[in-house]
Amino acid sequence: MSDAAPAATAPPPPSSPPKTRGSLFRKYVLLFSSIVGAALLANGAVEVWFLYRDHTELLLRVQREQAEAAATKIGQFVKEIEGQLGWTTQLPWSAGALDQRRFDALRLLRQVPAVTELTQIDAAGKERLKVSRLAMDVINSQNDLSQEPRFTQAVARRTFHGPVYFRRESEPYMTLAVAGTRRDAGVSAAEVNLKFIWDVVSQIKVGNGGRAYVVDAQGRLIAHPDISLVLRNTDFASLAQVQAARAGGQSPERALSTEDFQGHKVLAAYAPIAPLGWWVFAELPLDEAYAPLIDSIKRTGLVLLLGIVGAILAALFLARRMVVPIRALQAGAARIGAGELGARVEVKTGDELEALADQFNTMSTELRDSREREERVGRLRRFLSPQLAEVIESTGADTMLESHRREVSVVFCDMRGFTAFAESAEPEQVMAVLHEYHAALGELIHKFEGTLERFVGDGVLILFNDPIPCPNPSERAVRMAVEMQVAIAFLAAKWRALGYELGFGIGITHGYATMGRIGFEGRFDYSAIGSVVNLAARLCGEAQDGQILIDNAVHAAVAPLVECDEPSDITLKGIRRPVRAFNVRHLKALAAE
Amino acid sequence: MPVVGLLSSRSSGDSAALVAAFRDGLAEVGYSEGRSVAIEYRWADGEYGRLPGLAAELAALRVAVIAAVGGPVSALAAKTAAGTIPIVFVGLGNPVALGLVASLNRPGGTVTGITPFSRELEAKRLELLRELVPDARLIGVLVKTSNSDSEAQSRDLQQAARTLGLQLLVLGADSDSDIDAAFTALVQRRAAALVVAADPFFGSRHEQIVALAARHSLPAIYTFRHFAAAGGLVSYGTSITGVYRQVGIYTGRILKGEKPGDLPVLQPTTFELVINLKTAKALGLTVPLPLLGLADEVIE
Repeated sequence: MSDAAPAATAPPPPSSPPKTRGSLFRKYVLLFSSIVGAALLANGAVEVWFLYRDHTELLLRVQREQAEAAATKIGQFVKEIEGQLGWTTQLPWSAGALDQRRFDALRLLRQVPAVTELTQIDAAGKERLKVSRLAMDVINSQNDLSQEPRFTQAVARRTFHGPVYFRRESEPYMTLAVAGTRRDAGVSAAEVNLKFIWDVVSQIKVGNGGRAYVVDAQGRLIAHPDISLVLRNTDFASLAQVQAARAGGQSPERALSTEDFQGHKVLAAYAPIAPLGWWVFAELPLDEAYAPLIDSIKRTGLVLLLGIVGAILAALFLARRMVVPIRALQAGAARIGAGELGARVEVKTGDELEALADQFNTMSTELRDSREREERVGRLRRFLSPQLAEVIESTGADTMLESHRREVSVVFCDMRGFTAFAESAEPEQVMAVLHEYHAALGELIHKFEGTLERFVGDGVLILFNDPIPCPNPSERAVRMAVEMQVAIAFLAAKWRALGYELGFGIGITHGYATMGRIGFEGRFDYSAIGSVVNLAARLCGEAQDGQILIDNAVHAAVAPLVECDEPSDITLKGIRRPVRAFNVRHLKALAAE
Repeated sequence: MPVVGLLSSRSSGDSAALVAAFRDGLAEVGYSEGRSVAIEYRWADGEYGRLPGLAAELAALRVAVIAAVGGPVSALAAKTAAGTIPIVFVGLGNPVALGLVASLNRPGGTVTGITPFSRELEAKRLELLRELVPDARLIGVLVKTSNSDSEAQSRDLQQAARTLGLQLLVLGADSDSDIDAAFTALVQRRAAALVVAADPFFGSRHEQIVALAARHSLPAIYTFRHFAAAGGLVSYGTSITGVYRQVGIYTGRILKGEKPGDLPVLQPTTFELVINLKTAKALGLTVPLPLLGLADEVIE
């Protein structure tokens, strides 16, 4: 699928891995299969190269041997005729009758079918005898042949090889002359039919489509299986193999890959025909020469292909082993990202990937636990100071919020004259005053680690020793109350400047109360219930501006620390017996420290 | 299966060895009769007048190649009738002068063939005959009047006779009765020996001629081996079976797609001298040693 997928297609489900450029899977498959493929390719190429070299060498050696064998045959053919001619030049012309010589000449014709005509020339260059298969014999014509090359060259070099010529346009002939060893023996010149060479050449089988042929020293074709080429006097001098033969003739290879006269690619080997300066060539078409090689290359190619396919399959398998767990991890991470904490990933590969998945699972579990703790702490923060909430959370005491009964110190405080103020002032002014008031109180509640039970308008209820037990809850309550009075007095001065007549009173009690969650699913509160709470509210109601009223239990706990007014027994609404209350004047500074 | 026409001026009876050689030639290039090639035979039995009709028959059959054997008459008849059908001929004489081919090297057209060196050998035959009959002064020559080469044959022989100091009695023959008449003339004129010139007609009448020569005790030289084999004194010429074999090879090569115009007209240069010693003895002749030494075959 291309990246340019139609816009209409649905977005991928969140669990599917996001598309990335070049997946790991593809990279692995490509890398692995290209490495294995390259190795196989290199191996195949080396093998084919050596095969090619050995094969070519073998073929060329065979061809060279064929060419050499043909060259030897042709050389022997010429040498034999020269030898036979030599016999006819043994005797000096002074001795022996012409009849005897004619007899010898006829016998030579009989013995050497290739010789069509034999001329004997005396030492002076006069034709003395001519016997022929075609024409009548001529005896002692005394024709002067002393200027002809067959006489002069033979006398000079003992043997003479004339150029190849064609009788009646189609019969290849060559003049071969031999001079006698004695000065007066003269010269025997034979017209030699070269059809024999044609036979030798046409009998050479070079493979199925190959051929052998002979060229003379000038590169002219002398013998070829296609006789018409010879008869047309074809010049092969321009062929690379002929040039190589004529130029560097004796180089040991005597073989090359080139083109034949028709432009077909051939393997050519050659050998010299020693006595004549001619060359025998053996040529094999490259198609045929390399047919077995090409078969072998095809086989190698097939093996290569199978190898590469195998490599790709192996790569697919390995990459799959690698990528499937990675995708599982990716999907797991995506699930966590989508909020599904505690998502688990199953990887059973028994290697680092499994270890990674285990770690992932551990992390996921811890994330879930952490999130749950966060939620718990969030719930607690409403009631407790942050540090206290953390302490509760770390102890894992969710049960602290369950209903229970405990001895607590209860602080209730509210403002004097707030109702009147709230009625007369603008709501914004009321909210501003409340904000400053709560901020000042909240800071102190945190400082003394009290538990803010609830706000009721300007009224604030604070507990000590619950849900976290603390030492000296009453002392803390009183110390906090004293600081509160100071803080609110400071605020009250400011408010007074604004024209707001507001005061602040506090009631503190100590005793047993029942604590726990009240409310319903979705809106729970932590609440204290009991007479001690009501008493604190009543005492607060009785307290004048700047007063801190404490009951007997509190007084008993803090008496050494505070200076109090004389206690007064107060009759409170809803409480049958009068309650003894103490107004805290101030802390005993030095003694308290 | 391709069909090849064989047009011969001879008769099938005296051509068995030649036809076998022709088949050998075809086989050499991969065609065997009945399996990969069919051969239509047309024999004129020496009656040259029938050749054009026979050639037309082969042309009507649309054969792939016509092998026209038994002299230029056969080749010329074939060429007239064949149109574009390739022809392989065996012809004594000069095929260029006869208009069969443009040149020996490159015939050019649809005709090629083999031309045995027979005519050129007439003088050589006269010389050989004289070796056997050294005392002869008048020598008879039998030529076929209707043979286009006969005049050239006579001219060559006359020239050779002058060199050798001989007289010639040239007698023409176109039919069996002519041959009989010629022998009667030879006997009457006391000719000492006879040269039978090259012609397929004589070839097909070799038994008649050899018998007449024996009856009249006339030493004679012939062209082909089968004369000597039949009792003729001596023969000198091309191996005719070799020639027919080559015709078969050329026919096969043309069947394979080669153009006759590219196949040079071949001129065999191997000659066989066959001497029948039995006949020589009957005639009371002594064969000189050099001649015996030169003989390729001696029949005893």
